[in-house]
Amino acid sequence: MTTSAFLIIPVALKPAANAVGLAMGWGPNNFDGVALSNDGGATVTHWACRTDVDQVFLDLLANPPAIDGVETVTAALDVNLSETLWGIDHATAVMADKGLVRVDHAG
Amino acid sequence: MLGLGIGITSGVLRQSLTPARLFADGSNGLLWDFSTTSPLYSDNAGATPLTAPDTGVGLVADRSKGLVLGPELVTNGDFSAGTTGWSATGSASLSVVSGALRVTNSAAVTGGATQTFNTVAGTTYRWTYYVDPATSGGAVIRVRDGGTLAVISTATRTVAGSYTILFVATGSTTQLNCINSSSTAGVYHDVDNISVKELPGNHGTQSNVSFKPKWGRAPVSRRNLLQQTADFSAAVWSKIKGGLGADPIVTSGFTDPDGGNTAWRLVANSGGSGASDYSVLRQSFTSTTGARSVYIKSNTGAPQIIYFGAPLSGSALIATTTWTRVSYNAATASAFFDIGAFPNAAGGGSGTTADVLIWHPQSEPGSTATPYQAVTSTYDMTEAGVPSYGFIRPDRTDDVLSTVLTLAQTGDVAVFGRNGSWLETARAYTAGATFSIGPTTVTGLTAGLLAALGDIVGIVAIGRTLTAAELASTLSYFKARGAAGWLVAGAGQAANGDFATDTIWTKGTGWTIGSGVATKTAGVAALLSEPQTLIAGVSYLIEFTLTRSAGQIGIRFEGGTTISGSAYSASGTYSQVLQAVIGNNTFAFSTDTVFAGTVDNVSIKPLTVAP
Repeated sequence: MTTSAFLIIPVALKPAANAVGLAMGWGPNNFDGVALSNDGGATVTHWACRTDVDQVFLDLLANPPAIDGVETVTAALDVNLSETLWGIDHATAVMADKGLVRVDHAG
Repeated sequence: MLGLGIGITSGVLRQSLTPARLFADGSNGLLWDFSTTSPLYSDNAGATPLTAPDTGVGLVADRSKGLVLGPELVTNGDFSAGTTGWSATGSASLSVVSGALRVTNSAAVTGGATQTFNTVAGTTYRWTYYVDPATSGGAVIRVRDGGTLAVISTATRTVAGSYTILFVATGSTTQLNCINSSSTAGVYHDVDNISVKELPGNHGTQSNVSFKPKWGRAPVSRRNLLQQTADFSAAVWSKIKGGLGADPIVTSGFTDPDGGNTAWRLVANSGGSGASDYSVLRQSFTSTTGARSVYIKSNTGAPQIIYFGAPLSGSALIATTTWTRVSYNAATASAFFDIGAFPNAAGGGSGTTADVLIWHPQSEPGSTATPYQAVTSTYDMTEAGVPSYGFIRPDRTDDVLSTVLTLAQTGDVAVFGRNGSWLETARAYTAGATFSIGPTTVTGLTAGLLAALGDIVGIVAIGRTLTAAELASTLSYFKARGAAGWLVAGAGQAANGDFATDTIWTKGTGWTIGSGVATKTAGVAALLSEPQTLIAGVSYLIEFTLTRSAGQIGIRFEGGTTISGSAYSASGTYSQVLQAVIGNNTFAFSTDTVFAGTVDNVSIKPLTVAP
């Protein structure tokens, strides 16, 4: 069974988090999708990735492989899982819970 | 077969889709049709056809050009003319062995074969080849920009086989290389049937696993609200007990009405007849009225009275010794499908034990049970004798499929979703512009649009204005594949949206109303809000005029979980879609601390599907 994951990383660690994701075979720029702010403004303080994960992923997080920077990333990674909420509903709930807003301009 | 998942002859693919005929006049644009798997791939290189629900889409091939491949660009790719057209690089000696090109290191230096051919930057090409790595230690097969030599696509093949890759050329020439990864003298690899042909169109891709929208399938009419309807051991099926009751037990592999072994045994024991004694198998879903049904048969050789109701009240039924489909209508909204033993259930108690076979559960909005729909997951619903059609479900967070438009175009863009379809006209895109679906809208269309459309069945973007007949025909095509009709905006429900008076709106710090506008001065982040009757699940089209001199402003629904839309930091007249959730009762503008400007002409209109 897959689980919805909303993964949040502080802005300073986004390059490292992307590098770890690439090394794990998930593709580049996993954390380039969702810019977040903790002050309600235009300043990006965090980046996030929303994806479906399975037990393999969760096991990897618990016991990460020996990749440069992985310990720093996993220590800072805010992992939010849900088996009842998905997609935007999950992301919205997590953002509301943590006082984060999406930095997203339409004009 | 060229491996695109569609039957072909002579390099021409079937072209029987009505929407594709829109482009028969040579119009630019794209047709992304998710209702069938044939144009879909799970990887972004077009090597792995998408075949199963709950799979991420890495590539959607554009059907607007009919998926007709261009002429062969590789010279002597089958090596029928020896090594003509191919040059050796490094230490390589080239020869033809059993009809294949053999690339051998003639010295202790890596060797390769190369050929350069003409391409058009930004154009997609379909590249196929056979490789046997043999003793090479891995054959590096790659294409590079013929001018800059920047790698476009590369793979080290250690397994013999045929490979298919789509790549986008970056220059007026492209160089193809086949290289031994080992520098040992004498090692070699073989390649054969190398082909590169243009695949015209604006193909949507996504290389990142996390950003691929999932593909699913369902009949046009999706009725069964349950999940995992063939697996009562799945986590969505709760085993609940109360009082003296025991956890219900489910076991698979029993003979079903069709003679298969897909029925399950349910054993439930309430432990007593007290008010709170029960043992129930339950699945929860969004509360609704409607029919609940299940096939049931006594497993004891004698009729049994079984509890079948929700929530923990009402309907006892008799499970006979033959398979029977039983149903009841939940006239009062309920969020449960319950079956088991509950002797003291209001409206009809059961025996203290239940030992029955169950099969094909269904909960649906209508009051009468309809034919069963099998639901493996929210991405996979099927119904006997009824076709299922595909859709993608972007997560509206970071899922995106993108293409770079090869040519400029201005014209209609229509998106067909299972909750509604949407049309915008005179959408202009420059050559080289990125066109995307996701995360929250389609490029050039109203912000937040995807919230209103639901699962996406298809997209048409064309460089001209479609006629009414063409629009009707295209909508009809996608409706036959699960899409709903055009969304229309209802009556505006914003009160005092023109700020004619200083009333209705609740003004946070720095907000004033006068001269027909609402004005915010910089200094404090604050809301301007008014109460609204917002129905959960309904999407609303928000429109307003913004004059801004500093900072940013956004819109949101408040009450319950706050639903925030995109923000704005430039003056203009804007439209955005927000979808309300339970508890939303307020519309608000929200600013940052430095915002200074005015808003006016606010309208809030519910979107509904036109009849």
